[in-house]
Amino acid sequence: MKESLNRIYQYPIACKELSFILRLAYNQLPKVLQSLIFQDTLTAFRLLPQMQTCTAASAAHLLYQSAEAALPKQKRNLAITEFKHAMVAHKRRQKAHQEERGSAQLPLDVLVHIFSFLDVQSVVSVRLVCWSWNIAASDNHLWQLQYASVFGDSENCLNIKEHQSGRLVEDEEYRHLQEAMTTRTSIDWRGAFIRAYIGNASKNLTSSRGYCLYCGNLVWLNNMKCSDGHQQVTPYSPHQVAKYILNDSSDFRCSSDSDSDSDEGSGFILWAYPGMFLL
Amino acid sequence: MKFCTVKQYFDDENNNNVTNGIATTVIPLPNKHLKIKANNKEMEQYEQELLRNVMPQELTKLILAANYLNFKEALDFFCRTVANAIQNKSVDYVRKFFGLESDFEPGEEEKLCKEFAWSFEGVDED
Repeated sequence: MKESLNRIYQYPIACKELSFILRLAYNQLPKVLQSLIFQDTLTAFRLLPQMQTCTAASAAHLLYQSAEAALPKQKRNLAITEFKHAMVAHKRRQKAHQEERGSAQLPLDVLVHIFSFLDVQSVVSVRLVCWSWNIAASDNHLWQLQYASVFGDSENCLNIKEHQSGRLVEDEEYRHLQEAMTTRTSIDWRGAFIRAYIGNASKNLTSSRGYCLYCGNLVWLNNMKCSDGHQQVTPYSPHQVAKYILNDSSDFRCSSDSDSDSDEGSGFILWAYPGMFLL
Repeated sequence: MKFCTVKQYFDDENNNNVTNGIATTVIPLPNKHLKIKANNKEMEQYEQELLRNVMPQELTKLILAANYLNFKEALDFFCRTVANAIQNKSVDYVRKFFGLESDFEPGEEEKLCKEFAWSFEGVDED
């Protein structure tokens, strides 16, 4: 318990555990354990000034309330004094800290907002900057956005899956998601993203060519979207690209002879603009 | 309506969040927005000028100010700028950019790295 109290990110959890123990079991525990818990509670309060986060402060407050409720008179008074000292020191530290850091610390929701503009790779690497960024980058809603943008939202998913063959893994995943959405259970979007990505890994996400349903044409993909920003794209492997071009040209050859312009077909248009391939 | 919190700001004497310098940058923004409402390109130019010489610390202060003032367009814009700046950059670059320090324990960072190992390809050189 003591070690976990020392770590910033585990401090709130440890505090909560302590408060539960205090509320539920303190009276029933043998004296040795009681004194141990009491000591831990005091340690928690003493360490509060070192914890800079607001969650730490609120967790400590919770602990204080439990202590107030559960501890016998003498210990309670001790705990109360300790807590009050800790809060004063904590506030003092926060003010000093803010001044010296120049408020470079961004609140969590702002961080999540920033990350919502990033692509998957950047979100993943940004998690390693520091602990608060890690928490922000693991935000469930953020990963829901990423999932929707990379794998398409529910309707899109279905369309894409119809175009692809032999994607059993995705179908199961999709069914899971559908189930979760209908039963309104909270989806772990980050986990879902990982599973879907690994299922797709070799073929799709490294593919930079695809067929944009909106443009009606082969396009270069940018993070799974058409360069004009359309999301309804089906990724194509080089083989599929070649097939598309060849099919297209043969289709047009069969069409009416009178219209010689359309004879070219979009396949030939691609060749006419070699610059596009250099994207 | 965009300034629901500005009145509060002026009434609030003990305000640490928005320093004067930042206020002078952020507050003229809505007026400009209204003037150049139709013309997106001009707005972009204006914004580029604003941010050309801004240091990261300034940027974070701007973001905090926009957040406090509940100014959605400015907040979006500043956040997007930050996002563009750190897009696809290495972890160390981002740390230096914001002046942050890693508060991970030695083993944890490696563990997190491994979790998403497949995505660490094609990162920009610093």
